[in-house]
Amino acid sequence: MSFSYFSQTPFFLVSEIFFGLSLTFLLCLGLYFSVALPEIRTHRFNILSFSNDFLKIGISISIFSIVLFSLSQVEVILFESQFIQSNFLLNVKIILLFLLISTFCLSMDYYRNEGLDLFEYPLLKMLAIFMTFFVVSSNSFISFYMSLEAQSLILYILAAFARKNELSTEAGIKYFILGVLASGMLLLGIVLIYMSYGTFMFDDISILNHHLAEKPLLVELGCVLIMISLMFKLGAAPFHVWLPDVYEGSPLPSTIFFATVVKFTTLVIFVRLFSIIFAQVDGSFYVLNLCTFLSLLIGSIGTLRQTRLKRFVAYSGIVHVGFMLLCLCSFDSQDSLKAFFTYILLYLLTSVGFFGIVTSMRPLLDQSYRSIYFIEFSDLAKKNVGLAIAGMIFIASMAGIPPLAGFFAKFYVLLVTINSQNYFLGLVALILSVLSMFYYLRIIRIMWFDPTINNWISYNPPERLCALLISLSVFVVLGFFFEPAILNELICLIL
Amino acid sequence: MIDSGNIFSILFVLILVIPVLSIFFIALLPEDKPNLIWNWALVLSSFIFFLSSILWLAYSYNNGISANFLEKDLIQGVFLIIPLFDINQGWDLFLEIQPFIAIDGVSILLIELTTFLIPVCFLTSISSIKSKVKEYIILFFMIELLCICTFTFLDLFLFYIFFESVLIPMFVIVGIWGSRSRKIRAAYQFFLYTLLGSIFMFFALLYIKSVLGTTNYIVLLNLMPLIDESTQLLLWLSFFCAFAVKVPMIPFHLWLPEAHVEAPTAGSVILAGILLKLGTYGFLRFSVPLFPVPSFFFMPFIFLLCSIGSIYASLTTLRQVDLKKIIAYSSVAHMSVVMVGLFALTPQGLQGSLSLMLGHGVVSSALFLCVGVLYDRYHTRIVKYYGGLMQVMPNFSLFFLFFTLANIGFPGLCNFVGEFLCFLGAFERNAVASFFCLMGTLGGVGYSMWLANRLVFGQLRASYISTFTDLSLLEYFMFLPFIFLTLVLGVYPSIILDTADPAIFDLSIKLKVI
Repeated sequence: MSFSYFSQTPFFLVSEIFFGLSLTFLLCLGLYFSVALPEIRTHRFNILSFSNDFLKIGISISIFSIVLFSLSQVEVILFESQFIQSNFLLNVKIILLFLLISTFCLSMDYYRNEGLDLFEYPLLKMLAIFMTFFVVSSNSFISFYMSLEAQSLILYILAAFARKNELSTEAGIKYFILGVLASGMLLLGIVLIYMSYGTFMFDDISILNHHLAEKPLLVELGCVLIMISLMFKLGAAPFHVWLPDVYEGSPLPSTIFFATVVKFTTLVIFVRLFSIIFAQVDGSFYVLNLCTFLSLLIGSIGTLRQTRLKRFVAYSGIVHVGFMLLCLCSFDSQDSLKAFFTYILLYLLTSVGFFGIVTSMRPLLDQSYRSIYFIEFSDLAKKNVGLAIAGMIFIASMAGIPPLAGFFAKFYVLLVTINSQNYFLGLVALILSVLSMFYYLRIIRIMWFDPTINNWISYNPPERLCALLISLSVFVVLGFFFEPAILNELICLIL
Repeated sequence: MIDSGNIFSILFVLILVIPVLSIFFIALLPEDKPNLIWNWALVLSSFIFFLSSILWLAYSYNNGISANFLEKDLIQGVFLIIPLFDINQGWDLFLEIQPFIAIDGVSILLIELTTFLIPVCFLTSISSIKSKVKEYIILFFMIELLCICTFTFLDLFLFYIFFESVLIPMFVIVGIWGSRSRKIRAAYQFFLYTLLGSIFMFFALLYIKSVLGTTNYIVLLNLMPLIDESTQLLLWLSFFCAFAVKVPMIPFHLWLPEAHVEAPTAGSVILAGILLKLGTYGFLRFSVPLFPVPSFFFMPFIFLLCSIGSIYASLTTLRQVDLKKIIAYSSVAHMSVVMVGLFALTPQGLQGSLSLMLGHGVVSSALFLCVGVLYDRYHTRIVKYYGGLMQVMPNFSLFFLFFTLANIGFPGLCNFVGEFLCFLGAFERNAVASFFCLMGTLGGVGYSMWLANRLVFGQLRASYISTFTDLSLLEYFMFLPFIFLTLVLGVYPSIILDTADPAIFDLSIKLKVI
């Protein structure tokens, strides 16, 4: 046994190993500069751009890993089938790396302005991505649980990273306590399944599920518990309460990380587990339907009165999660998976663009200020037309106004829902999307119509990479209409 | 010899591409030279108008001689397919939708109306729009492009997309360049009313796509009987929600006066001239041919709404004091007449509704322009501040009186043809409804004459307004084409009726009313 994986592993996991090794190397480098040679750091290097250098190195490492990933397209089962590598998972990892790069691009200025200029911060994110690789690759509950815990631990640190900020500390602790509660439930669920089936392996559980017409009660219960804990990590509604607080308290780059990378990871895990295990268990559909309905409802209503940017993003994220779960409610064909991934990708793209706008809202005079309220968008059209137009496009796309990409994403989801004759949830989603129009329109109104209420005369122009990201997402969101086939085919390639 | 299908393709590519190019071109012009921007906008939009006129001419020319060439390009005798997109090449692989452009007389006339109104909008805005000129022009070009697309794409899904996307530019126009503080409320109302209505159509669209597996209009025409009739009734109702809000029929009309009052003059012109026609176009193109049985089933319902609407709108107009609101409510009344003619489902009624759509597009736009002229000068639209304008603004008064007469359907002017045909069609179906609608029109005469009397005749209210200037040269020339069109369409309506005739004839055959 040991022979087999020592001969295979280096070859098949070359990109993961490269990523991990470079991470270690960067860690040593950072320690060397910050501890061993502090005077060199202050004199020879520009202290202000210390973590910026790490960001740039991180970006290049990620790009290199993407290349490696795309070269080693092999499907294999590793480590006594604890982990699995497949075409789909490789693509997921590539997307994760792209998200990491965009997170880095968006936070170029941030560390310097916030006084968070520590090299650990980008490294922690890379470490979280590294753990995520294992989470999405895991093929048994034991490896899944362990890697998920390692990833979550890093996330708690990321939330609490602005140590001097009260809100950030609070967010970290909230995230930690509630996250531990969720992983307790996850563990209980795993144990319950193990009690009746005696195995942790996904494949075995799937086979057992497939052959048992009547599932044991413990399995039903275990699946429900696991689903609940995943819903918790996803922030789907009734388990969403931590989400707005954590988003609001954490420093902005962490929030971006939570809203894009973590959400994507959890959804991928969820859809993997769902297609392998949960889809055969009746109990899980109750949880899924309930969570979908409540996410749509609570997200839409919760967003109505939000005045803070991050809380708004959190609540509208809940609605979007509701839409993605809606696909899985009618999980019967390849179509629903396609719709699911189209929605995820477009959602990620739009949120990256929107966060780009949020990060570039810095007044010229006071660099360290970051926007908290929507009102600070007021009269953006006069101050920076480009940003205002981009913002309008993102918001309209999130709202699902026709020619933009968001509309197509919603259309696919709803079509899948209607195809499986799930009329009730489809109608609920449609009507709530009119409700959501109220708050999306409010942002457009603030950007374009409202007279300015603060005395910021002008903004810093956005960072170059950030502007690049914003314009890239605007391009895709606008251009999607002209040739949807490109993205359709891309999704088919990913799956 | 050039293949005629090719000519249409080239013309159509130009008509679709030039607005896009103009958007980019205008965006690149220097911000600080408004004159240059306006001139280019006028030139480009006039050129599009010119192109669409050529399209109309080519179409009606081919209509006359049809037979040999049209055989292969026509589907079911009416639709001229523009082979812009390769049918076999997928556009959206997920939905398996191919874009499909085809035009018939109805769409050509509406495109013509759209392209005619856009340059006029620019003309009337030169004096009043001073801020964000480039954005303003770009938004109008966007509206033009989207409306042309709405009128030509014969795919339910794409129609829905364009039908909805017109909302965004209009929302921004009302919101930014609107005249008063209520503009945001008005923009919200406009947006949400329309959106709420079309959500139901969206649901119906999803249902059709999921049951029949296609959204291509031509295919749907044959497949629709597969859906059983009670479901068809529901589908018709969902389509009705979307279109009735846009028309607007009477219980859903509240957004219209608000939007009109708050929009800038050009916005009102677009709103009354084109956007309202999107609703009736939807009824004419989709509701009636796709669901013939429900259309007959709901005919009394529509007649009831229209009779109420016509009378109610006329009575409401009588007690308005805002000039724009008066014209907005009179639009509601006229659109009721259009709907009565349309849902008479007779050839005369259908023809009448189409020509009244066009006539109303010309006349009420002209009336909004008149109000705009007054508003630019005195910045009020309340009737009581005006009076006796004949003595100081003779040219303006003449035009205003002329268009008011056209608005009440004076014989010889363009609305008369449409109203006459509408009532002719409706009388055949339901004399009582026709009678009530006529009463509404009578009310229309009342308020129009009352308005003209207050505004144009009587004593000069010099206590409120002391300086008077008549129409400037630019405004004068802005009105001339409207006068021309009103007269020509009134005296020689065949130019409309002949173009639309094959389409209407075909529709009547489908409805089995001939």
